[in-house]
Amino acid sequence: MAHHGNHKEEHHHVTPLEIFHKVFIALIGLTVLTVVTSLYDFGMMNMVVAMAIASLKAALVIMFFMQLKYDNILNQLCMISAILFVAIFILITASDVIVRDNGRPMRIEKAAQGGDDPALMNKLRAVTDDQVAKGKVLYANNCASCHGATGGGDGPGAAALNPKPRNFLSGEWKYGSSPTRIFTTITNGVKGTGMSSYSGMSVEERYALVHYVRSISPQKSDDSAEDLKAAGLDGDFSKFKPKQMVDVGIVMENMAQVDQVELPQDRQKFSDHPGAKLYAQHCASCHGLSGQGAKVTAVGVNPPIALYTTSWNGLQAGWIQDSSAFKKIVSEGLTGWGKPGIGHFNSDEWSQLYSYARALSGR
Amino acid sequence: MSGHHEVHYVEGTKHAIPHHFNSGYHEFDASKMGMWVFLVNEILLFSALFVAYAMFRAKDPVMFHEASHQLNKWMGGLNTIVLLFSSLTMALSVGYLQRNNTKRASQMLILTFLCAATFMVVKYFEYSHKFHAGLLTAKFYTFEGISAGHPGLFFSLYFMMTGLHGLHVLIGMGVIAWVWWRTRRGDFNEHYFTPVEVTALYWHLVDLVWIFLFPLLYLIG
Repeated sequence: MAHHGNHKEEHHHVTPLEIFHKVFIALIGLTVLTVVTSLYDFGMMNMVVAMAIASLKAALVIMFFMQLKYDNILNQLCMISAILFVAIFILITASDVIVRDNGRPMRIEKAAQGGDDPALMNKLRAVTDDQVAKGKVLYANNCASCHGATGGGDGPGAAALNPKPRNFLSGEWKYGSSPTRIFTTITNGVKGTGMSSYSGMSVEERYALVHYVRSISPQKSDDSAEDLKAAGLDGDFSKFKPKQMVDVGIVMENMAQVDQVELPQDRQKFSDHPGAKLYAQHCASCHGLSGQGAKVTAVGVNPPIALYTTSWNGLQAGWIQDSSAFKKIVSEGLTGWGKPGIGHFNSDEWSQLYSYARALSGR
Repeated sequence: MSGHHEVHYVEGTKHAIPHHFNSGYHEFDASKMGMWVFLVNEILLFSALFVAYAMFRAKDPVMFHEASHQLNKWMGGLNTIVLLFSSLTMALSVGYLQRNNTKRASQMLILTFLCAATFMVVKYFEYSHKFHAGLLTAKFYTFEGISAGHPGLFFSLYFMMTGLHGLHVLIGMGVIAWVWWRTRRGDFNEHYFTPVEVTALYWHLVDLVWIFLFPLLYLIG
């Protein structure tokens, strides 16, 4: 009566015990393997390898310890459907976020490597009245402090600079007077001089400056074949793709943060420092009210570039111990890093500014 | 309901086969299927947390990377080996019952229980380190050594995932103690060991979840 006999398999599957032992050894081996691979950096592959090993371990446990390999098809389908649904949940829910490029704003020297769009450069090479007018405004804001309000190379910053900034009224050009040559000079800056890189400005803005300074110069040449070749404007550039872009959303977000800077509590004690006023006038717009840095201070929209400054708090840098290094960096700028040279201080002002900057760095 | 019901026992045991089953094997199959369906529920329960993990890790991989370094991968590795060994002893206890070796089966259950206890002791040391270091969630996150993002998010996931898993270990310890007591009492033999078998299935799942938690939480980069 107890056995009606309508079951096909009236016995339990009995697994040989040594199979359990072998599976256990394999599981320990795979555990060691996953720990060892985690000690090396394979980038995204770390995650893939770790999950592959974990899945293999899981398969061993399910097949042999849980004996699903020998179980009936109903139980097997139960487990397979569970695994399938977990995979569906994770992959579809996270499908967007997994493939998304978590682009962070990059520093300007990296962004500049992407290069400018040659097609756009080629179009803007030709002068228009509109560009000259735009360039005049940009010149007053960005260049006049050293090159002079009228372009005579006699701005307030010029006194401390050696070599002196270009006098656009003289008709002399050291790095070429053709539009593309001047564009290159503005883009890259001139190493060893106060002329820093303005690659943070858009192509349009830089060409507007080019056409303005050419408009006030008594002598200038047009682009030669060599000029165009040097700037990569000779071949087929219709397929050019800018290599590095910054997500506009991130730039906007960081621009919004600029207005939110507040002086931290522990920095307020410096506010009556004699260097504080100089700092506020000449440095704070980029380095933050208390040297905290990391705020966007110059943004080009095409290509989108965010300019960042480093926090000075706890900074290990040569200038902190060396006032002459400080003076050199401040007056000459950092070519290619977007740091302009600012040099019109007297010796009292230099020492006040240096002492204040050191105080902000925590020294 | 006329007449009386004849009571059938599984051979060599005091286990009466419920009258709605044809045989002891029929009962065994049904019980096991019940456990598999429960395990599917368990997997889907944990899957919600794995989805949350995948979303937040993809959103802020740098923070997950840094936060993961605050976990002790050697302690996590030790616990992995302890749980894998407990899965072996659990499987062996079923194997010995199938061979009518009740004494060895009960020894294996004791070993399984001790492994589970060891796991919880190691977990206790890990948790207390995190409580002291402020590696917690929300306003209780007071640790200052991680610069990226909001590491409290990593630790809220860490405590939820390992906490739910740890609860399963504790429940498993209770059930293992119970089947050990019944094994000692002589309730089981080669024909009837259903409670031990379904306990083993549950225990292997606890192991299975940990197999994924370990690399995802401890071994990021």
